[in-house]
Amino acid sequence: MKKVFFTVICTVFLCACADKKAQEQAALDAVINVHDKIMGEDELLMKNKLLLDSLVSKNTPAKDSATAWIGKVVLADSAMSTWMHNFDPDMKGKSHEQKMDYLGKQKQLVKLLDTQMNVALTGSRNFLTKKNIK
Amino acid sequence: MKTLLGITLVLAVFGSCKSNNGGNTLPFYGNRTPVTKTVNGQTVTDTIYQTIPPFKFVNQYGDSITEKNLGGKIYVADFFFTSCPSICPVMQRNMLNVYNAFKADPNIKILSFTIDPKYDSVKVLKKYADKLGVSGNSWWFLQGKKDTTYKLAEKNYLIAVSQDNTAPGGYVHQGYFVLVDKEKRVRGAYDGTQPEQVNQLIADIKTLKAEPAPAPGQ
Repeated sequence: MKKVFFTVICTVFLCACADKKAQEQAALDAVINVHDKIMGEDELLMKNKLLLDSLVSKNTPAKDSATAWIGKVVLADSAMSTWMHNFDPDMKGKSHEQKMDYLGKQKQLVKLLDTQMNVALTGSRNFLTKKNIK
Repeated sequence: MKTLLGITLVLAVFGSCKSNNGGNTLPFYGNRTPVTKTVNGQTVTDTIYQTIPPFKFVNQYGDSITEKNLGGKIYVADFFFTSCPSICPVMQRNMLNVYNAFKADPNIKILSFTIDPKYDSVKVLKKYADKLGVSGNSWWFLQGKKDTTYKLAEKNYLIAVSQDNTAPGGYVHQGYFVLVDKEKRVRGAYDGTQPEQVNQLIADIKTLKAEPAPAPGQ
């Protein structure tokens, strides 16, 4: 009887541990997925930056507007870079609760970055389209 | 008789795709321009393939690296950043297999371009190389202007990838390893997160090594 009880306790304990690990992995994946999406957007943002740079160098009447868009593009790109640098995917020494809390906050942060990136990307693209620059 | 003729034709076509060493000839990627010239009084049409343009970056030792440092060498290029939490650790683990296979060969190089130059300074790149166990000059971790790196990636190195895709970009952070031949032409792109594709890359480097050297003036 004692053996059965011991086996049941061990099984419950192992299942709980595995469940916690799975929760942490799912939360980490959710953050990384947004990050990877932003990386694709960042590439398109750099394309727009090159086009805006060339518009500024040509000294056209649209120079000031182009310079303003470059500022927004650089800001969005820089914010993403800073987040990547500070993000700690290993989370060494943190408890399960601390990890879940950390990843929850990082997901919110990275979603805000995604919004900022989209605003810069869509705005700069619309501006370039109006100027017939592709 | 017809069967025999068919087999002969198939063998002839297959044989034409082999190089002198018996390995497959690798494809060429990017734009190609036909050029007509006169050789020994006869008009011949040659093809000029797209090449990697001149560039200037700084490596993990603080040295300037340009296309001149790669003259006549075969190299593999990839794009990464040191704080990348997703695919880069897997890519660089797989790239270590390429490094270990060819680190004794001075004519084979690896170029890893950072796409986060804001934080990936020379010091950070050196620390990253040390952590991977990379020493010497076989594998350079390169830092330059971010938009220059992206432009070089999209317009040149990843031409093989964009040729096969309809999406407008988004390839730089997808873990591709790009193979460049001795004449700066792109000859292959491999998913750097897949060990079997990296093994194919190693095999293809050996194929490129066996290609005959270009004739002087070509």
